[in-house]
Amino acid sequence: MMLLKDEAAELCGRAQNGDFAAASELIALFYQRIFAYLRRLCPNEEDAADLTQRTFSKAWSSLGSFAGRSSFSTWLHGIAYHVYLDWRRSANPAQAQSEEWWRSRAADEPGPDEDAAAREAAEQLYAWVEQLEDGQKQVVHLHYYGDLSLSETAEALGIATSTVKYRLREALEVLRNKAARGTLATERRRL
Amino acid sequence: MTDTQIEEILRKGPQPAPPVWLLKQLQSEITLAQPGWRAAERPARKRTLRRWLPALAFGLFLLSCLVIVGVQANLVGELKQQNQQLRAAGGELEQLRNQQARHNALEAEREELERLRQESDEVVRLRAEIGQLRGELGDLERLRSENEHLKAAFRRARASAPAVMTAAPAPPPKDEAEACVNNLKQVGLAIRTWALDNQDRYPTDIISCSNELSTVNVLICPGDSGKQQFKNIFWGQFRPEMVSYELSLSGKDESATPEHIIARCPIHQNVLFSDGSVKRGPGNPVPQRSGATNNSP
Repeated sequence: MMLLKDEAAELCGRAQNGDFAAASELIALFYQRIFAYLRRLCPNEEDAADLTQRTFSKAWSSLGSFAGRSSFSTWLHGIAYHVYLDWRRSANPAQAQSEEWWRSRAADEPGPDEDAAAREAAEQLYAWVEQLEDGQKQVVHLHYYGDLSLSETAEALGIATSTVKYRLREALEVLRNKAARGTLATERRRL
Repeated sequence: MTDTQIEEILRKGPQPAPPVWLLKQLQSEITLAQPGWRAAERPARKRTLRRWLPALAFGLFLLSCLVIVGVQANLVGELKQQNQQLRAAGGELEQLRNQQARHNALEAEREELERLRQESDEVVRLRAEIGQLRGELGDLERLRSENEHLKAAFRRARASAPAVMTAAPAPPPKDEAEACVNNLKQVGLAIRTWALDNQDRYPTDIISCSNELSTVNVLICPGDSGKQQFKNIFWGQFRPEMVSYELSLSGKDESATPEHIIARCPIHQNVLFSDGSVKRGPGNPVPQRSGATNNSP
């Protein structure tokens, strides 16, 4: 991760000096993560790809203002988050990802134990994440799915780190409660 | 399910793969700005300003507070100074009041002294008058003694030559006789004036002519020592018996009889006729004056 940060910083510096090759390498490094982040938020692949294009377009136009206080990844995720917000406000308000998609994602990438019960639990958990409040859902997406640290998540969302922690705690509590209720219902069905 | 399990599952969340065309598409859309310090400097300046804006605002606020505190401290200082001046003026006021009271007391003393001085001057003047009167008293005593001597001498002379003394009584002073004539002339003029206003009829008493006579003095003969006391009384108190002259007022028109006697002085024998002319008495010749007419009114 540290190497990636250093490499990104160097590439960013070169891109700021007009180096297209460096910019191309930056895209190769981050476009998958950005697309995945947006795809988890958007209902279809086309929208996610479109928002990814917009994100990088904004990144190039604002590259001069990037001072390096945060990592390039964080900065890019922040842009993607705002692009997503703009898009959701203008085009698709409150349109969330379908549960089927999440189930299919879980089915595509089963858990480490290859256990059907665990896979089912993961599917259910992903679906519950989508039912969280927007603030909680964003921190879960960036911190857990996007693998950003707490401070990076806070910086990308433009909020305080303590807020990120608080939202994560709340989100985990909600998920834990739902999981407990889901387990109880499963046991009842078995009985 | 524990939090750790949940977190573990979440960390292994779905990582959807991008479409294959996306990478090339993104790489083909790279639009980098030309390198230049201005483009980067301007946002850096903005960021610097944005970064320091809270501090600048706070500094400005602090500076404003300091200015306000300074102004207020200055005002408080001025007020204190004014207060001290007013207190000092209050002390001076008390002193001025005391001075004023002393001045008033001194003024009162000065007025008292002035009054005493005037009284002293009055006393001195009265003493001088007393001295003068005492001197006059001495003269009077001397005159009295001289008068006594003369009276004694007169008695002795009378005892030695009584016939001479009785045969030649002393005539009245000429001035008195002349004044008597003048009085009668004024009386005649007043009576004639009164007659002109009353169909030429003469008055029945001389009091009726009070408007034509300036004073009762003209009705008192200067030689009538017994009636000199009535010379200075007013018309309201004057009575006919106070007149020195013997009046003969008929209340008729006397213009036809100019020789009719209206008034006569029993002392000087002067006679007033109805035409206003005065005939002098035997011991009262006409004074020798140039251009003067005899017995004319």
